[in-house]
Amino acid sequence: MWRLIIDEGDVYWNMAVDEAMLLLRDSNIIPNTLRLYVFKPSAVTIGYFQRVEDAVNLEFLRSNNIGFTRRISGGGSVYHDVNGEVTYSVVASIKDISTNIMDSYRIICSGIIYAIKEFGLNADFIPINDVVINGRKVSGSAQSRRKNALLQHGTLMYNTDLITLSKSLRAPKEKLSVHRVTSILERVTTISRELGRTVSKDEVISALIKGFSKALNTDFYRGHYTREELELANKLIEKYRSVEWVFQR
Amino acid sequence: MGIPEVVFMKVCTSTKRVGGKTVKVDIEVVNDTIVKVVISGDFFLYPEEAIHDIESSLTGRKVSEVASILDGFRGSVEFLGASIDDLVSAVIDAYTSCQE
Repeated sequence: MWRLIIDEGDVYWNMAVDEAMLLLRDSNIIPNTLRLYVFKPSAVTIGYFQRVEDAVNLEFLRSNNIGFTRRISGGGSVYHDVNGEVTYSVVASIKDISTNIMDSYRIICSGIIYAIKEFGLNADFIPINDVVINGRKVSGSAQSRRKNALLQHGTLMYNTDLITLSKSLRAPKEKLSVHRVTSILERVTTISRELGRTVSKDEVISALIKGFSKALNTDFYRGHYTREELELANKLIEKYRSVEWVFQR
Repeated sequence: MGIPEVVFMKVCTSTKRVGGKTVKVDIEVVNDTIVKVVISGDFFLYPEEAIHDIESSLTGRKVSEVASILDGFRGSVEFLGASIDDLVSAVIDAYTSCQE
């Protein structure tokens, strides 16, 4: 049985907790955990290898007081809407998922696909890390590994403000041409948009628990952070707030 | 007094699209030698910290050495959404654009 934690916090706290959990799972100090959380207030995370100026619209973020930080995981920039997106983190022993990185993306992303099915919608996994409904991205994930453990975190957009998303993030022109659309707005969607009704956060959390239970073949018990997790996260949070970390490339 | 050595420094960029991912290489070249490399994009690399070793391995080297240096990382790193070959060609493209 896995631990389930439901949480909310600012962008620095959320990334610090994810890293703390990865490191402590790697040392076998904490159990396999599904963490479901919201970014409060709305914020942006960028991939480990991205240059800030290529990934986000800095001027827009600053003028709208939208905080951002760099993740320890690769992949692209993400807008986390407090009122329209739930983020998941799967922190687990590698041997409990798969030693093959691509297989582990597929296994964990199937939890998102099952969750979307709870709403009566069909979704597809598009390797490496996207889940789409009717060809439009509704979820993106990124995975980081240590020797024994993995962290995969990702989004599920249920009612994201796609205008703010498109103004916050920069997508390379070439990326858009590959996707054969002209803007972020046209290649992303939300569960509410696809259903034609406004879906609530609680509905999404409940669907994600069911979806991951199926994908990971486990039940969950509602748990809390350990003292070690809180202490480590409180140390790591300074890194995520620092200019040196965020603007390192 | 001697004649000061002429230093030709250029900063060049190359961006590659691989599948749905981007690999961007920014390099600084001084007198045909790579003095700084930054590899960026929305790809995945395992372990992530290897990017620093890859970048520093190219510092102080000529473009003719790039392919064999990066070959040395095969087996110890895993790229998703890009490959060592993509990286070699992005570095060479950036270097070549510096010569134009």
